[in-house]
Parts: sequence; structure tokens; C-alpha cells
Amino acid sequence: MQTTESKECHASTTRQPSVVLECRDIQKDYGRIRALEGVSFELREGEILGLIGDNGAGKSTLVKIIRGALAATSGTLFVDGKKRRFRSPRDAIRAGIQCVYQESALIEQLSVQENFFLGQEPLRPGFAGTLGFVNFKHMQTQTGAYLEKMGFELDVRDEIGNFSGGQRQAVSVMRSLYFDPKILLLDEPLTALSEKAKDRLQGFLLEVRDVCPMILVTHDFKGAVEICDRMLVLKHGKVAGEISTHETDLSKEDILDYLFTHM
Amino acid sequence: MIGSRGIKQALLNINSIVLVVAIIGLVIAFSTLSKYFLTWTNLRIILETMSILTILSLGVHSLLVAGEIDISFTAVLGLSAAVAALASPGNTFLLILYALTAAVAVGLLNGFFVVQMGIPSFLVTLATMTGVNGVVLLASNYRSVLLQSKLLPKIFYGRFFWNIPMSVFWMIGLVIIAGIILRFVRFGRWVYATGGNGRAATLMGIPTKRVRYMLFVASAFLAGIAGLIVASRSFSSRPMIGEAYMMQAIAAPILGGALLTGGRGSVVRTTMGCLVLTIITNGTNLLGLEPAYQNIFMAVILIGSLSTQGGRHSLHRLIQMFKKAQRGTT
Repeated sequence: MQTTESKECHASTTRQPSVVLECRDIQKDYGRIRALEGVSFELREGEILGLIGDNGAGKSTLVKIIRGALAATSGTLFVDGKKRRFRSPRDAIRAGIQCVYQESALIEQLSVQENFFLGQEPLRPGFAGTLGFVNFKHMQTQTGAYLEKMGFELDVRDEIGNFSGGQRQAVSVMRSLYFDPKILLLDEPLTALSEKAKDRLQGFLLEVRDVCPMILVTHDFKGAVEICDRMLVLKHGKVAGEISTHETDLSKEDILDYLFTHM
Repeated sequence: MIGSRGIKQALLNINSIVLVVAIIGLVIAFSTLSKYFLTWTNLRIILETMSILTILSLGVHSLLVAGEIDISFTAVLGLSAAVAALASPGNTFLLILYALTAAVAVGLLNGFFVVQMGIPSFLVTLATMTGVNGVVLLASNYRSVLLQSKLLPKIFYGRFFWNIPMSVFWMIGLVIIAGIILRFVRFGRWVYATGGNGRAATLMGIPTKRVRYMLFVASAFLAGIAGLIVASRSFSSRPMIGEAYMMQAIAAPILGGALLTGGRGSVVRTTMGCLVLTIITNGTNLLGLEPAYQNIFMAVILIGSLSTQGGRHSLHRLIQMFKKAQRGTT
């Protein structure tokens, strides 16, 4: 077990996966209010990093900074070792950071295929593409094939608003993975789901963990313990603790105790 | 089991069917009541009248789809006409450029206050409408100004084919362009996404601010073209000339199923809405009814359309609930 008085992240001793994302001394002020202070951590290949904390702990602010929706007051962000400064979510997407949100970030009036490619619509080849014409046929076949491969059979031409919460969240996760992201941010993706849908999605995230490292923001400690490799506890905008769920001498109860005492 | 896409299509088609039925019904009614209604001359007049309204409605419709509204288009129309008339005589190309630049400037102003300052679009465009009307009154000294150009009226209102004015061809061209952009081009899909759920669209990397900015500019540009048509038609500009189009240009997209909350709307149905409104105006004129009846007619149609919209969505929700319940039992 590691406490983070030193506010450092420690690489596993058993393997040395490369660092995909590094946040160094991130600080965010809203006027006189300091939302984040000296937040540093690393995300490594093949892992799911849990980011947990109470309301107002700074989780959302941190995620917004990583995905380019907010600018940090100070601090540095490295993606694949390269220093990055995102001015918009589009910048972050271009750098390979995809995000899944609690409310799915879907447009109810648009079809599944349009939501799947939302903001990244494929264009038709040739001059039509130069004029911005969308390749709907490609969207339809790709979305259908990808969802089917992942075990979901939906009519991709149907409006997304016609589907259940679990199906929508599944589409949301799938579309993020489709674009081969370097990092997947999951911002409370399981909150609004039924237990059945939650289990299915958690299982799926474990399956794709090796393909894409993830940061899972959640209130749900128990759920996080099930799927996260490491967990970072945020409290009052600072890193209050860090724990690896792979430490063999710890039971799930020990981990939960640790998380509660550091909240 | 009914496919949900089928339901959606059916519900959307209800709108189209209602419009088609309304058009057929109005044509039958007015042609029965007036022998002049179904004449080539009258059909041409309907197309002429409809052209200005449709061009204005295209701008309003696009903004409604994006969840915004622009009511300054009447003033922009007047401004564009006034600028062209005041700058004439002169190079026709420059007259058009001045008029459209003035229109686009108002669009940029609207965009700035709505997008950058976060002020509701209704309030911003209400203010710009009032301000621009004031500017036009002052610039034209409260009078009509003669358009001293021979070429400009030919470009926007010349009759080269079958005695149909150019404004009709402008309308057809702009409807096709707007329809294609909104339906098939990436920018158009972003317009629907911005109006459907602006926050989600932004999160997914869609530049919603830029989209809304561009739509305010496009709406003003279209109002500018409408202004040039109006000036070309009467060879002059008159202050407050665009006010007559206010109600109808907003009503047409709503008749066509556009939601004030954004995310829905169709260029084809908006055009059909314009046709319905123009037929009503034309038919009541032919019957010699007072303009007051036209206003009452328009109000009834608009409220009726909004009620149908509400009913359509309630029906949609009801069917969805039924479908979910059905899924639960299987």
C-alpha cells in the first residue's frame, strides 16, 4: 500500500509498461477557489486507473483538463511522453484521448450510426469529400459490423433515443474504442445503468483493457475495486492516496477500508 | 413488432402528409371559390411571392434546427435593400457586395452576442432588429430610396424564362443548396447535433460555437439576398420593408416540423410550409378578404401546427413506452 505524501506514482515492480499519460503538478483555480492542487499521476499501458473521490474532490475538473474542456492554471500534461496543451475537446480527440460520459454524450434525434461517428464523420472519397459530403454507407457498414463484433445487434439507422440506457452507454463505449484511442476516459459511465447492464459493461472493459488503457472516474468503490488495477483517491483537489488492487496481501475489504479512510 | 425506425418515419411522414393534404385542400378550396386561382398567371404570382418568404425561412429554419432563433432578418432585408439603393448608381457587383456585406455584418454581430456573450438569441436579434431598423430609417431619411441600377433588378428579378422572375430560380437554387448541406454534408449534421444536444456535441469535439456563428451569418446572408430581390422587384427600398415577412418566415419552418428546442427540421417541409402560407395569402387576396382575416388565418394555422407537434411527440413517447414495456415482457 502506498500513501501519496510524496505525490508520486510508482511503477509496478513486476513489469515495466510504458507511461501513456502523465499529469504533472496540475493546478486549477476558479477565481479564488483552488479546485486542483499539485495533482500528479501516471497512466500506464494495459491498466485501468480508478479516479475516486467525493463530490467536489476535483475528479470532474481533472477529467475536463485531460479531455481539453478546461485549461489548467498550471502544470503539464504528457501523452506518450510528449508535452500537450489542449485548447478544446477536439484537440484531445486528435491526440488520441476519447471519453465516455455518464450521460453518454449522445444526440437522441440522430441515428446510432451518426452518434457512433459524431464529430468524426467519415467523408466520401474524391471531390465530394473535399466538399464535406458524409459517407453514410461507410458509417452504416462500419457501425453495424463493429457493434456486431462486440456482441450488440442494433439497427444502426434507428434513432439512439429509442434504445435503453445500457444500449446507449454500450454504443458510447464502442464508438470511443472504434477510433483506436491511446487513452479512454470513463467519466462515471456506470452510474445510470441497471445492475445487468453494469456487469456486462464492466466485463467488456476488462476485455479491452489491454487494447486501451483507461481512467475510470467513479463514486462506486466496490465497482472500481472489481475492475481497476490502481486507484487514485482525490480529496479537496489533492491526491490523498493511491492503492494497487494487485497487491496480493490485500483483500478487497482492506482496499475498501483504505479508500474510505482516505476519502 | 413495429420497428422503431418505422415509427419515426411514420411520425415524420405525418408532418409531410399533413402539409400535402393542406396544400391539396387549399388548392381545391380556392380554385372552387375563384376561377382565377388555377391560372398560369396566378401560379406564377404564388411562386414569386413564395420565393422571398422561402429564402428568409431557410435562414430561420437552419437556426431553429441549431436551437437558436433569428428575428432580425426583417431588418437585415431592409438594410440590404437600403444599402443597394443608397449606393446606386454604381457598379452592380459593388452594389451587391455592399448590400451583402452589411447583411453579413449584422449576422456577425448577432453571432458575437449570442455565441461569445451567451445572451439568448431572441433578445439579441430583437435588439439588432430594432437598431438596424433605426439605422435604415436615418440613412434613408425616413423615405423610400430609388434603386438606380438596370442590371441588379435583372439579376434578382429579371424574367428570362417563361416570364418567371429570377427570384424563383434563386429560391430553387438556395433550397437545393441548403437541403444538400443540412442532409448530406458534415456541417449540416453538426447543425442537427448542436441543436439536438449542444453539450454532447461539444464534448464530442463538434465546434458548436463556430456552427452557430456560421448559421447567424448564413441567415443574415439569406436575408441580404431577399433584400436585393425586394429592392429589385420595386426598383426601390423602403424603411421597414421586411416587416411583412416576420410572422410567416418563422411560421413556415414550424409548420414543417422544426422544433423551437432544436434538433429537428427539414428544408423540404419548410418549403412546403412556405407554399401553404403563400397559398393562403394569395387565395384570401383573390377572394377579396380583408388582410385582417389573413392574420387570423395565419395565427390559427400556426397554433394548430404547434398543437399537432405537441401531439406528435406525445404519441411518439407513448409508442416508445409501449415498446419498452413489450421488450420487458419478452
